[in-house]
Amino acid sequence: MTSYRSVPLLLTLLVFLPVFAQSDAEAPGSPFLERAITQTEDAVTITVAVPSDTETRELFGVPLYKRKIQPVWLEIANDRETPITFLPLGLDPKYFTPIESAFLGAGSASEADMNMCKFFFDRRINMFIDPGEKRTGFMFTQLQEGTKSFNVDVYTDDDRIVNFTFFVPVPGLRLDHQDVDWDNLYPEDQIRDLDKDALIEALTAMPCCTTDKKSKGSGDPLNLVVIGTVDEVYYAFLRAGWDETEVISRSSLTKMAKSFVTGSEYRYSPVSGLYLFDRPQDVAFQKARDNINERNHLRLWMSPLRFEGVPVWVGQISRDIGVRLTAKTITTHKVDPDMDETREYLVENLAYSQALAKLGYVDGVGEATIDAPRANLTGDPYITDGKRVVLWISSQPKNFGEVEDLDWGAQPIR
Amino acid sequence: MSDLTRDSRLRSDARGIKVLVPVLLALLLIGCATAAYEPMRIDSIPFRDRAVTQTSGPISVSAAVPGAEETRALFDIPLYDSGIQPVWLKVENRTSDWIRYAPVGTDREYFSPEEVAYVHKGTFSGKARKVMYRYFYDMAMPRRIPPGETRSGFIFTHAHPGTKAFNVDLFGASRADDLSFTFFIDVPGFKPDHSEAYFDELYEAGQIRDFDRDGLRAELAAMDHQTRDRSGQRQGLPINVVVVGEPQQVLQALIRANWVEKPRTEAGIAASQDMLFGRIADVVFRKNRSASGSQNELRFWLSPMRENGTPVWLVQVTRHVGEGEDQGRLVPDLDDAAAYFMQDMWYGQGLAAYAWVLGQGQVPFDNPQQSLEGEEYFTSGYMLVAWLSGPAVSMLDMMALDWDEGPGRVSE
Repeated sequence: MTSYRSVPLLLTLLVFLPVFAQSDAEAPGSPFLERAITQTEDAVTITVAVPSDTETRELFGVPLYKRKIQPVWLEIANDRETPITFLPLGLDPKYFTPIESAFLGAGSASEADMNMCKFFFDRRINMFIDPGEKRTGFMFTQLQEGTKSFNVDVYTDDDRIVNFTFFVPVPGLRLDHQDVDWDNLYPEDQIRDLDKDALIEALTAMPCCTTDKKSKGSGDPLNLVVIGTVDEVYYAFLRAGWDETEVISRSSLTKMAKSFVTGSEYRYSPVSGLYLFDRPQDVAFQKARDNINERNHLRLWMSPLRFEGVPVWVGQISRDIGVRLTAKTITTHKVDPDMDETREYLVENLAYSQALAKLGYVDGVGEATIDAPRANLTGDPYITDGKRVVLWISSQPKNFGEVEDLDWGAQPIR
Repeated sequence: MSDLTRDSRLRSDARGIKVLVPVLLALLLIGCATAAYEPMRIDSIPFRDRAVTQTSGPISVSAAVPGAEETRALFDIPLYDSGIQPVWLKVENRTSDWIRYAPVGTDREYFSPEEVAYVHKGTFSGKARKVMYRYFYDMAMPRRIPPGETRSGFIFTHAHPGTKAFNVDLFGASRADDLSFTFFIDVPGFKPDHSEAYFDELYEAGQIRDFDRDGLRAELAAMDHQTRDRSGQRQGLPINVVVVGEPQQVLQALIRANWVEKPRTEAGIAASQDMLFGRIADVVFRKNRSASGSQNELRFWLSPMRENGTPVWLVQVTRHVGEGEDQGRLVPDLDDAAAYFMQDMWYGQGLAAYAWVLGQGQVPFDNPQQSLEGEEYFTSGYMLVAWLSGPAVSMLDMMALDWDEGPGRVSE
């Protein structure tokens, strides 16, 4: 950063003032602001917008997305009578500071001259907002493509934290759920609204497992039921740190090939289809863990059932613990044989992310003990107590101490 | 020329074969690996003698953490080498309801038992692998503890050197029965820099200066908060944080927020020539921010100041980018680092109170100074004063003291 110091301030002002004015986020010609979303609560108004990869390059002149950095634009208006404090850490615990982002965006600290550092620094959002004041600026966060989900926490002088949750679509990915026509999945006469007892009965009677494309065979156990609207389901899983899934396309195939060759991570990688109701999953989520072979995969199908008018989804979750060779598909993920361990992980994952309201258990998968395991379609053995967990998703943050555990007489014991 | 090339290629091929044969043999051996899986009986390894027990009403939780060698014996695998640390738990449920233990409360990204086994199947024979998978299944801590019963077993967490800090979260039939226990357990094989005695012996009784809160504020505003090199001639990085708290309390708060203690003389410690009170930092903590090696660092000096008897620490907090030629590079905005530390402690429920105090050394963005290592920095001159708490403080119970305005409010 020696060059950063050597450039006189005057030159900085001359060169950069016009640029600031021109690319000021509020000025016309910033199309990402057309996607801005506003929420108001307790006299605090937050507006957010997330520029795409291309828009970010135009705004900052460097490929921040490539360095896994994503700017988030915020406008915070304080109509209260006391100051408020915005807490960047609540939006992203691993946020980047403006100058760090300039260093990383430029490729190295020596590439980021003073002009560039100042450019980033001057566009930062300030944490402190006085009464009647409005602040705008950028925060630099870890990259999340598809739908960017985050909280905005604002601390008020009367010792409260006003919490906002945002889900902002970011152009650039082709996601699986964008192709589903949710309103016309089933003809009207197939939709069945059930009470509690009928729900338990219907869920217990669901097929044990997924099938192959021809609706034959017995695949992975359907150990998951989710109750929630399309938006709720998808907000809850994003809040719990799951990534969306791209469909197969030229672009996604290129990314897959690149990831395979370089060993880099492709968080939104297309996943194979498992079958239920004569179709592959409606939506798949995945959660990357320590290395590229270790992820969790989750597939959901919207069923024709409704509970109190809310859609009932059936699904399957598995924990990948490595890659292995198979005769059929050459390589496949080795799945943790202890299916219940993975299922219970999901319960806790959603509860700790404040995305779970209630849970219960029903039978229907059929027990497979450690001494007599079953096998899925790729020959992986698995064990399970045969239970399905029923999860009532919450789109509003719900403290994990408040999760209601319904005892329907099918509680697991391990 | 082409002959020469061919010749040398031939020779290198011959050499290649010589190397290849043992490699092939080795591969063959691995392919039909015959190693048996022979973990030692848990009772034969006395790590549970160090178990710590906490009781709350009718529920008791015991925890013990085997060291690297003990773990190798227990599981016949050097799990620490893979960054995995088993934690042994025992939950005694004397209530009349079921209790659920939630492993994610102990480690958000814990490893499942079968995953640990599968990843280490390596050289074991097919038969041994089956034994191993079953062993991990049987040794796992179950989630559910029936009324009137006790359950014990292992959960597999990410390894941390030094003090292992974790929560054991239990959920009962109603919210009133939910409990969270926090454990701090020393693991054999790691020596932190100092025993408690080090801090007791740093200052003579006559050197200690005790202040009330207002007195401390005045003293902090007036003091020289610049570090110096060994000769005392050149200035290092300024102090940008002041911490008030007993050593154990500060340690607990930092560990809960995932800071890891580093030996203070270890290579790669930032600003390592900076001296205060005639010595380098007493304690160093670090926190990694990304897989690429970006990190934050805290360097603590115990000062002779006390606030109503409680130790006052002068601290540098810095951010570092961590890739390629920039490895360890200082991020020049010291205010940003202090603001991060404030939030980090707050969200980590370790911040009882905070204030800003304007010190002596403003260094503007446009006229940065250099550290002893020649890295540039700037700061508004404000110092964050943080009162840290060992026991968790709810975010809403934190107190913001009305001292100076703070860095964000100036130069706008």
